[in-house]
Amino acid sequence: MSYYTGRHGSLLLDGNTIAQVQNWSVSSSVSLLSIKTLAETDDRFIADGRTTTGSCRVLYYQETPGVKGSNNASTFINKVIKAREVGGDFYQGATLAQGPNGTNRSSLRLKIDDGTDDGLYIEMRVIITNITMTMAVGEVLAADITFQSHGAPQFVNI
Amino acid sequence: MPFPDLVPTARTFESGDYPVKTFKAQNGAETRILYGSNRTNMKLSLTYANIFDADAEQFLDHYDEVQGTFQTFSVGGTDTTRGGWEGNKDALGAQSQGSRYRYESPPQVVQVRPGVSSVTVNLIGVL
Amino acid sequence: MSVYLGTFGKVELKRKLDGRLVGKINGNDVNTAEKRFSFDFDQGQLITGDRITIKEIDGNALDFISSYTDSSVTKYINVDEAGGIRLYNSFANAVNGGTANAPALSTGSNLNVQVTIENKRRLLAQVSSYEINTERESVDTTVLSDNFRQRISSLISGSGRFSAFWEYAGDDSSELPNYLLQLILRTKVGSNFAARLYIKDSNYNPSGVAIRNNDQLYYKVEGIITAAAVQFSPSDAVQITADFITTGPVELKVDLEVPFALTQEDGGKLLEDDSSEEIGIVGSGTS
Repeated sequence: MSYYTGRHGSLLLDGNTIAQVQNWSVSSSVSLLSIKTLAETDDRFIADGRTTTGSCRVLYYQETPGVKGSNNASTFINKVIKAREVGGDFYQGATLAQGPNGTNRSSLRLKIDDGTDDGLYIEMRVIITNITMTMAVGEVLAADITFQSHGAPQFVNI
Repeated sequence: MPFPDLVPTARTFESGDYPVKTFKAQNGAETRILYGSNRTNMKLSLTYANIFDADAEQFLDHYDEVQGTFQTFSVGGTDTTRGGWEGNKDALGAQSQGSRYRYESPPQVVQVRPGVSSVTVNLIGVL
Repeated sequence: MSVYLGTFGKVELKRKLDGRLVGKINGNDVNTAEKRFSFDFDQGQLITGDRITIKEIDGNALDFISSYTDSSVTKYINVDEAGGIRLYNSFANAVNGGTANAPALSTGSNLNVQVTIENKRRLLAQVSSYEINTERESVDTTVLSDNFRQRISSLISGSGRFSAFWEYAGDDSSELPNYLLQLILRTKVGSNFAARLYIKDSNYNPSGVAIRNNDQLYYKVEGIITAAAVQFSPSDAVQITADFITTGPVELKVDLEVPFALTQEDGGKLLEDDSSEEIGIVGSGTS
């Protein structure tokens, strides 16, 4: 019998393993519709829809001073926090696309290493909905990231 | 095709009135003339929330069969349209007064999710 | 291999003030016969033995001191039970009190003043034990897939405790333990102090290496008294304990004996402006 701990966890963003991930979590909830009629005493339901959200915490680090590096917290941060694009005088925005090559969404795989090649995983197309970075006395700079799945997960092997 | 035998999830009922004409003199005195012996104009509003589309379709089919607001019909029994009502069946009905229901307005169908809709039906009792 | 005994440890305390006191000296609060005056701020902020500097905020002369024309004065004080203050030129005179050594006062005008305290470091008398703890916080940086917990160093904090036999009078050169009990009760200007807690003092040398005879090793801290207690029972000596936390760096100073010291031409020690600290070279026995 095998149990899994944080030692077995990892996270892949757009196919690349992200370094210094301190935790990830995923939550899938199903909303209900009541079909209880006037003649009934107890609630009856049908499933209405499903929402899959999650979060992760990635420590911010630099391997080499002056070099942001890749496949780390910066990768997440740069998907959401972007400098304004060069445009007309009145254009002050930046693209909301988060995926590779200008696509809207990223691919996120939450993985459990069970010793097999692919391991156990949930892979979904996600939009990052929030990134919070906190610099505080006595704490390591980290990015707290929340994301929401676009549709049902693409692959579920868990 | 009878009115669909489904128990609603919400129901409102207005009991209508007898055909009364009221005359009021300048001194405030009121005179009323009763023109008939049957109560009419009762309104029954039925809501069927989150029902399957196949059930919702029955209302649309029935509305079409009775030619919209034209024909009258009787609604279901105690266990269906009046389900949950523990008083006399007649109290919510129109037939005891010689009336029958017809559609006051077309059924309203709100799609909730694939395969599931909510339907609201407004009926009015007429002689 | 040597063993060092606590018998030769000591604690030196330096009085400090968290901020400054601002208030008034009213002319009619000066008692010329008793050579005593008072400030209009709450009692308990100043403690007998404090070396205070009174500065007239508007630059007026502190004329409540007879024949004094400067706007600032630095003196030791004695505070009586009613909050009355006498000024003295030495710590010994201040703790002994009385009118004999206090300068004459005169009924002057109302003065707006600020008061600061900066004392010389003094031996804390009657200390039976002390402890100082330094604690290093760490931040957990363990990440997924790690087999061993990873940590990096974070902040350092210090705390400790003085234990001493209670005494309030009879020594006019050292700080007495009763001062710690008074210190925690100061409401407006905190319970700050600076201290040196010696692990090895000069003239104590279990190592047997002659050149190490006058080495000094001590913790240098600034702190706040956070708790003070008196243990009073019929069969035991009255003891006090005072807990403190540090408010800044905790330094473990290693003062090795070297024959260099800054001296004046006459061989006297160089002192800072306020005479509270001797000036020397690091490792020379003074700092």
